[in-house]
Amino acid sequence: MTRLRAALALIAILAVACVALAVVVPWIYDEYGYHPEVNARSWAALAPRYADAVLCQRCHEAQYTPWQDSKHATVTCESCHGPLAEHAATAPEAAPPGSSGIAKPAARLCAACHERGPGKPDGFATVDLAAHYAGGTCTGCHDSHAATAARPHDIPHPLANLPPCVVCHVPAGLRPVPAGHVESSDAVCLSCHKRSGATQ
Amino acid sequence: MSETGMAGDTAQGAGPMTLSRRRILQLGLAAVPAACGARLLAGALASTDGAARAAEPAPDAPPYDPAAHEWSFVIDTTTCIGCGRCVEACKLENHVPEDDELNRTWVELHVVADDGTVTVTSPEGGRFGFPAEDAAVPASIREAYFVPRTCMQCENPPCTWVCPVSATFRTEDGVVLVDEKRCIGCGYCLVACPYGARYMVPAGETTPKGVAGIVDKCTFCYHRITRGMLPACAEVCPVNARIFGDLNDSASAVSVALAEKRVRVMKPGLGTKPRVYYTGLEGEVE
Repeated sequence: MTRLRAALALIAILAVACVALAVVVPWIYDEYGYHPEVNARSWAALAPRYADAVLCQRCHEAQYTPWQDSKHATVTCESCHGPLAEHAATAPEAAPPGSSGIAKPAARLCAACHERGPGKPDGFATVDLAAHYAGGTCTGCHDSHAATAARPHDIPHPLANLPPCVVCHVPAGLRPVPAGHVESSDAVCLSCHKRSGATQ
Repeated sequence: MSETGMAGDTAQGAGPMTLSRRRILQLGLAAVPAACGARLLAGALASTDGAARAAEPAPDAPPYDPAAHEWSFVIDTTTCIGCGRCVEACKLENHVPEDDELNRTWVELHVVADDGTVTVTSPEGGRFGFPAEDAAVPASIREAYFVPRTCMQCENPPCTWVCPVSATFRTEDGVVLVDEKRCIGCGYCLVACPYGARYMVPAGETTPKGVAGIVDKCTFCYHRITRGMLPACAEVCPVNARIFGDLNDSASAVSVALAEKRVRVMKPGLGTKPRVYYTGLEGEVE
C-alpha cells in the first residue's frame, strides 16, 4: 500500500510538473527568446509625442493661415512650441486658443536659429545680438507667424535726423535700428520705441 | 491460508495495480490536452494583448510590412543652421535622459582654421543652439559647418556582432533596435560602435519602454515611421537638413536626394555600410 501510494504520489507530481512545464517554459521562451520581429512591433507600438501641424489648424487658424505663406512655412508648429500630440488629443475644441497653458517660445529659441556665428549657411538670416535692440522680446517686433518674419521692419533713421524732442527727452538716444530694415508704418516704430516716452 | 492470502493479496494488489496503470494512462492522456489547452490559452491571451497594442495606432490602416521598406537619412550639412531643435525633439519624443552627454542624436560645429586644424564643439549636444558667447573660434577660419549626428543604422552593424545575448538586431526595414528583454547592459555594443551612437541608461532613468540599466539608441523613431510619420528630428527641422524616407520608393525625398546630390558616409573604410548619408561633408570628418 505504501509503495502504491508513493507511486501514485510520484505520478501525480510528475503530471503536475509536466503541465507546469508545458505552461511555464513556453511563456519564458516567448518573453525572453530571440524574437526580433515581435520586439520591433513593440517599438512600433510606442505613442508619438510630436503630432502633425495639420492638427493645429483646427483651432489655431488665425496663426496657421499666415504661417503657411510666411518665411517660416518650413518651420513646423512643434519646432517652436514643443510636442503637442497630447494637447491635440485632449484640449477641448470649445476652449479658447491660448487657454491650455502651452508655453510661448522664449527669445532664446529665436536666437538658436538666428544668432550670428560660425557655421551658419550663406544667405541665412542672422543677427548680431550685441548690436541689436535688446529692450523687448523678439516677437514684440517680429511676427513669427507672418511673412514679416522674413525681414524686420527697417527705417534707417540716424539719431541726428530725428525730431528735436527725441534728442532732448532721451539723453542716451534711441538705439539705431539695425541696418537692412524695410519701410514701415509709424505704428510699428511706436511698438519698439514707445519706452522712451519721447515718441508719445 | 498463505496461498489464499497470497492469492487474495495478488487479487487485491492486481486491482489497484491495474487501476494505477489505467490511472497513469488517464493522467497522461489528460495532461496532454490540459497542457495544450493551457498553452493555447496563454498564446491566445498574449496574441490578443499584442494585437490590441499593435492595432492601437491606426485601426483602419493596413498592417505595417517591414519587408516593403528600407529607411534611410540624407543629412545636408550645407543647410543645417545648428539650432538644435532636432536634439530637443529627440529628447522629448524618446525619453532620452536630460544629461548633456547622453543623446540619441546631437549636433556638432566643425570649425576648420586656416592652418587646417579642425575644432569640434557640441555644447549640450547642440540642444540649445551654439550661442556666440560660448564659441571659441580661431581668429581666421577657412570654413565652418554643422554636422548632425545619429546612429548610422549600418547594414553591417558591429554592435549586433558583438552583443553576447543577441539583444541588438537589425530589422528587415533597416533599423537597428535593442530588445529590452534580452539586453543585459554589458555595454559591449557601446564600445563596438564606431560612431558613438549608443548610451547606457543612467541610474534613475529608463528607456522609452520603461526599462532601466540597459542600452538605448536611435530607433529612427520606429513608432513614427511605421505610422507613416517622419522621425521627430526630421519633423521639427526648420531647414529640411534631415531628409528622411524609403529607399524602396524611388519618388521618396531620400531617393531623390541620393540621386541628385553627391553624398558620402562616415568612416566608409570600416565596411559598416551606414544608411545615413551626408552631403557637404568634408573628408576630415571621420
